[in-house]
Amino acid sequence: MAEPVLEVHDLHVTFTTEHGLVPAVDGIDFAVAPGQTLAIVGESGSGKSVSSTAVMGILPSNADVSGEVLLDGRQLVGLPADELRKIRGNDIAMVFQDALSALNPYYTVGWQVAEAYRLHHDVSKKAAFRRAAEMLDRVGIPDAARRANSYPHEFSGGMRQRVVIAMALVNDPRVLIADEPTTALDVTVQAQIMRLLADVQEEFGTALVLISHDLGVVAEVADDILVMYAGRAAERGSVRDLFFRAAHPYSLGLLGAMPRVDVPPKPRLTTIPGSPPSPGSITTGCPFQPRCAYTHLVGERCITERPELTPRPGEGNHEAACHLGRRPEVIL
Amino acid sequence: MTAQPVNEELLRLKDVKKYFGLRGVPWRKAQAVRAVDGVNFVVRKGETVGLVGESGSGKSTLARLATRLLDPTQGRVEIGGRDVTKIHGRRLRPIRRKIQMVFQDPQASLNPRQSVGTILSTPFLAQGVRPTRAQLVELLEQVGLAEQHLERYPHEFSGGQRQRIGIARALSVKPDLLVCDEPVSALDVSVQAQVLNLLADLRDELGLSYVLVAHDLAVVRQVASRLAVMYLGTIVEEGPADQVYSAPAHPYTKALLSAVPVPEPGVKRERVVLTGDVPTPIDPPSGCPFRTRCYKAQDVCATERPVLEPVAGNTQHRAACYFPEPPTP
Repeated sequence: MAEPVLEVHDLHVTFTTEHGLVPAVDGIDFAVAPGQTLAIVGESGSGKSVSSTAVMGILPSNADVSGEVLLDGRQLVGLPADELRKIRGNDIAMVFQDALSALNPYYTVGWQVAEAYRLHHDVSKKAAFRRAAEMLDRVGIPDAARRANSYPHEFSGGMRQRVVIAMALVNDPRVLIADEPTTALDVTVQAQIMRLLADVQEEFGTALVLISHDLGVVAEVADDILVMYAGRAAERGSVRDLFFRAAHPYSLGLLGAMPRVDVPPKPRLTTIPGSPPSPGSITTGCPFQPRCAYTHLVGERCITERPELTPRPGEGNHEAACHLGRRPEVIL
Repeated sequence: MTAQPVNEELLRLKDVKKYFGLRGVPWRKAQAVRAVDGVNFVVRKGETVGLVGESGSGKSTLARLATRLLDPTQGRVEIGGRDVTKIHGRRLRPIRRKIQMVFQDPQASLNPRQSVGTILSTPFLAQGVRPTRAQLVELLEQVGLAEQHLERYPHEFSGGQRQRIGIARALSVKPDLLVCDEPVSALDVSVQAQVLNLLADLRDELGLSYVLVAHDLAVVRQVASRLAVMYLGTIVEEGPADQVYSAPAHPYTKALLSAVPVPEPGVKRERVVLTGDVPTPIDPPSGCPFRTRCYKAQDVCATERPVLEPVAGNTQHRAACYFPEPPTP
């Protein structure tokens, strides 16, 4: 496999709030190589979005970030703001869930995409606008040269998401972080956007970090998967490791809880009892332990000792953080 | 899934239309959003009818028409065989006992200043009954909560638990039919499965029927016995769920189903990718509403709107298309 373009080591993000310190991300590692897709999967409060915003360096001031974020080996954590601005939007770009709030309603979409280009390139406004129109055409906006003069409200949800993707790609970033890019979209439009991202990735060799809760989307596009739970990595590995050899009870639970559209339904979905914990509420042992159906097979250790990622059989870097140490059998 | 449909009709919508007026501005004349544009819809006892479609298809509006939360612009609403289109206010209350609604956002549909006990008592009081504590506890237990939760307030619960409270409230008047508008779309995957299983259990225990409005076709497949697919305010296909899912007849249904990603790597599905977006319901296309995005569209599609017709002679399974897909190979 190619050298990773983005590497994250032992990333911690702690928020200082009225209610004390909240460890939203509690030591995670991941890496993604050019042309590859890493999916970060998790439920609300798992820290998946916080880790990606930490990589971008756009967390609010009450967040304390430590660890390493290496872009081509260069540490981004602790970089001065003006240095970071040169990288952000240029080498690493981000696509958010809600395209409407990512766009400024007062400016034409062409102007906004051109602005993103001019921030990193010393070109005339005219040339930047031409580049913007090209980019809008590239992401599949029909009649792009003319539509570049339209305002965000004149576009549908799917078209707005295309504009945001054009804006993110206008500087040929090496890494694209997409945080639930299709969650707000209808399924037919989702299919269009996911195909667009795959095409772009193939053409430009962009490394993609896809944050998602939708295992269907993930199964289709990801090369590697990181499953997060309560700010920590529960399991990671190749897409086939996760779907065919899931080693963490939580991953297994998520897979069983997903209804499928392509096969007749199971009589019952498997469920995980309870709901995801709020960050920082579980301080000792395994954060998944209160909801886990396998604790009785291990015993005390689950409550007292935090499980670390340990290797599991698979295609390479398959690891899970579970004391059980073997593949759990499905319990219904 | 096992409950046998009996022929008793719980709900019938007859040629209902709902137009929302857009106020005219001086330079533009008043227009109407055709949210529901001529729909016939029947729910019989024991059925779980999935109502699916993309945003703007009119599925939520249809749910609100069915529960008489909205007045139809045209057409008839029958609940339990009785025409209730013209009934309003207080006189609706006894009718509402038969059909109840569960809303999408449990956060927004529960009053934050009322305890769970008060929330659950309200429907009883509206029916002129004072509930006993035992009745309220029974309701909570039906949805997997317990007596200790009666005195708590909505903010003390997780999203999944709040949705259970919303379901308990709907069950309080012992309805025959529950209309659930996106009951699980605000929930995490692991919690969503709990609520779907709960809905199935309640159906088996209480003999409930459901209308399940959802955009997530996989969720609907898990529980629905019959499926109705909406596009731009009309039903374009309906039939037994297993038939529609395994052999969709309408090109839109086919495209919609093929666009749903499957959580299994390496499964290659034939995908019909639609171009463009759903047209505006202010000025829907002439003829078939789907023809502007359809891969099979021909001249005839622009002339007259196709009506629901049996697919290959099967009167249970109907599609509104001039060129339906052939039944399963």
